[in-house]
Amino acid sequence: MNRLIPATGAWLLDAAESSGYGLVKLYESAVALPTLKSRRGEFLFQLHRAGIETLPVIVVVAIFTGMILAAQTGVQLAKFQQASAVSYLVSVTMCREMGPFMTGIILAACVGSAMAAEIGTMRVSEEIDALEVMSINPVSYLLMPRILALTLICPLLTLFTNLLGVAGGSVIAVTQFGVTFHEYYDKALDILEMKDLYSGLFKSMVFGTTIATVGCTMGMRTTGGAIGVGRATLGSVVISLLLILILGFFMTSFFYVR
Amino acid sequence: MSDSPYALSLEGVTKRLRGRNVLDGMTLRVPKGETFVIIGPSGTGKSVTLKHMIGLMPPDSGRILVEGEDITTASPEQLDAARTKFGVLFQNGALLNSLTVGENVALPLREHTTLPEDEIRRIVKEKLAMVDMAGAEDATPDAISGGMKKRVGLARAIVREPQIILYDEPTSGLDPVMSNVINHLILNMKKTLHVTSVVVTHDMGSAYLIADRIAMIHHGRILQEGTPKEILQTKDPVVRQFIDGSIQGPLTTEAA
Repeated sequence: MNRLIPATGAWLLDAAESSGYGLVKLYESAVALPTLKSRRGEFLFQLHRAGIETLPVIVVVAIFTGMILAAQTGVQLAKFQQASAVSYLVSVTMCREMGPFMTGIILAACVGSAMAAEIGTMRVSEEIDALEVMSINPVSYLLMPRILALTLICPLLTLFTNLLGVAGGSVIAVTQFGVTFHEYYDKALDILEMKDLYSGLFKSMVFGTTIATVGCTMGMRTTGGAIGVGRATLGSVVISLLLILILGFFMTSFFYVR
Repeated sequence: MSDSPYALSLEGVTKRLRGRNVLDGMTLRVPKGETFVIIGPSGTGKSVTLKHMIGLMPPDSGRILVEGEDITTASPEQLDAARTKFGVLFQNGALLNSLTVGENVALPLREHTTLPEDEIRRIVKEKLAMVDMAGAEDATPDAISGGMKKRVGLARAIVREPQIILYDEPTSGLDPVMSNVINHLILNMKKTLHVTSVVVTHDMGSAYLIADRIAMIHHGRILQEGTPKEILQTKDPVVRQFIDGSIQGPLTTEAA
């Protein structure tokens, strides 16, 4: 007990300090937006890294997520001769929840972790100190282009995930439950409302900002050489995933629970 | 130009890190145009002192003066202005790995000047030649040796023609020949650019060769300061053990 209380206190203090640091850096990145023109090279590189390099994973995950959703719901609906309704469930679930969620998870694992590792390595090898000594603001040089790129690319990738998920679901609906392609897509378009789309895209935008801010914060606060970089990378994935779940719940409640 | 005879002064600076007083009332003054070498055992606050000099770490108390101007109470803009007076050679060069050697050296010019690209390329070429790295513009930092990284780091440090150059362990991890190359580059910088230099090092051979004055840090403050000759003739047992590298003495008794 003698050790547990101080250790818990130290952990809570560190968590509060990191959260505050992250929020300050997010604010400073927003303030640094006018410098985007001079950082466009880095911004485009980050867009490419997040948007293009993650595409193969996104394609596979999105298609299989749609297929799993269709398979699970189709089996139950078929018991009530309602297999054609699988399209409703797949399209709504993908657009409202699974699209933003799966995209967020992939970006946290592939891009957020890479940001933490890259910036963490720069921190321990004194590259960030060197930037400051050269009067180059690390927020404008490193953080702002990353946070902006992920904030913008996450909704676009989510849109792509939604489309692929619905398409993946259609393969199962047609081959396993005898639903026609026409019927599947007509029903999918019929059930979807604008709110399903924009609430999902809004969520994914928040997820993009969160993942990049967490990755950059963990990187900037890295200490302790290679072990510290490893810890920052792991921490960025764990914290991003937790925040995606927690923020996702609150945003769902905000949009749909009355 | 300020009237202060000192390029850099630390006045009673304290800094507590991880529950330990790393700097404990540190006072030191670096005269303009001199090469001031800071020596001391590992973990006694040499690099922390260097980071305070350039505002990378704020002190818990005390003042840091750059050419007479207090940077401890400076705004970020004032701090940026003070930093234009500095060039820093970090321990491992701290080159940005995402840029080539040429881009690294050009970075401060591209960020802070409106010089045309041709002029920037000319200056980069000239500074790389000063550190015997002519023609290395297109190399990437991961493709060059530790000694080369330090030389490129030095080229980047001097690209904006600073008045003060800080060197953090400039010869650590280098073979004796490359260490000597770096020592002569430091001497050369003083001769050609007339800069004030502060060098943090463990390497006593290097310290005697390049220093106008040597200061030894112990327990977060200056234990002794003097010319290389005065340090060589020291009667202080701690300084004596450190400069001789003896196994027996107060430093090893303390560590045990």
